[in-house]
Amino acid sequence: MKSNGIIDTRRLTVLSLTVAVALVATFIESRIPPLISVAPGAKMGLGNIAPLIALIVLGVGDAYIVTAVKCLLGAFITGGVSGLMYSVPSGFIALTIEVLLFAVVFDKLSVTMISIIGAVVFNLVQLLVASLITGVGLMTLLPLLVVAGAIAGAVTGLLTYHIVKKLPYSVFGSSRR
Amino acid sequence: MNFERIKRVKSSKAFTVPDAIVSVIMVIAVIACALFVYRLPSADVIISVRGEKDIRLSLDSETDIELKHLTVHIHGGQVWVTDADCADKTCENIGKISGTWQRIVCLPNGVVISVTGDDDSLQWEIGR
Repeated sequence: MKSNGIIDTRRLTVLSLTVAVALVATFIESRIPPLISVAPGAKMGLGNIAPLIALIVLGVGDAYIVTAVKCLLGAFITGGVSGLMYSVPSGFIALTIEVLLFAVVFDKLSVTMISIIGAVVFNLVQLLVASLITGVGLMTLLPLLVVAGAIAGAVTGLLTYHIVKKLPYSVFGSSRR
Repeated sequence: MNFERIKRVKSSKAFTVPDAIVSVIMVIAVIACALFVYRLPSADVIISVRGEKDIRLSLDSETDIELKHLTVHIHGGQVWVTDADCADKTCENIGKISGTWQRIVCLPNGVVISVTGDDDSLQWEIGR
């Protein structure tokens, strides 16, 4: 990130790759019918690996960039531009929570748990926005969405953890070890 | 690249003891919340369009209601949606609902169909 004003090619590559992988995951997911029929819009959210990886590997600023690009392009890919109303607030608030958790309690809480909390927050914000837009209380969906979020967060968190753990340092650049 | 953080993640565990504590708290919270939300008996169907037009019908009313963007069917104590004109068809894919804990939500058109109990005062709702 800090390269004396010169664009860091490796950072740019990692950033682009994470976003690309996230978008492909989002696309594939949008073609699969919903797993839990009771909770509308509940899905695995494999694309959420990208902001988390960016947060660990690159930094806070880049994680926000990945989230913004993922929301915007993801909306066009899945064809639901109205979904931006839900994905933007949820994505940014969930990421902010994850950033704070990483800064304050990481090592005590694992990447998996931080991801779980992030995913649950994501679903809660989405539910809140949906309630405000439709003007109808959707709180009966709350327990379901918390459970769905926890499962999705555990999967994405474990994947992120293993990706970062298994990738050799040379992938990230070997100037410092 | 944030090498310090990569190193910390690499040396961290996949699941820790505090994780387990937080998980237990979350599970208890969800169960408490679920017990509170799901204890109502099914009775009525409420169809709401953008939070304005509320149609309230008995779950036993055996009718079909044609709305602007979709058709709601109420038969045999079950509610379901067909002919939605939205792209994602999430509301149709949900299928037939009958319990208080179930809702059909069509976000593009702002339509929410919910099954509710006799006693509305027990409904835990926000946004109204």
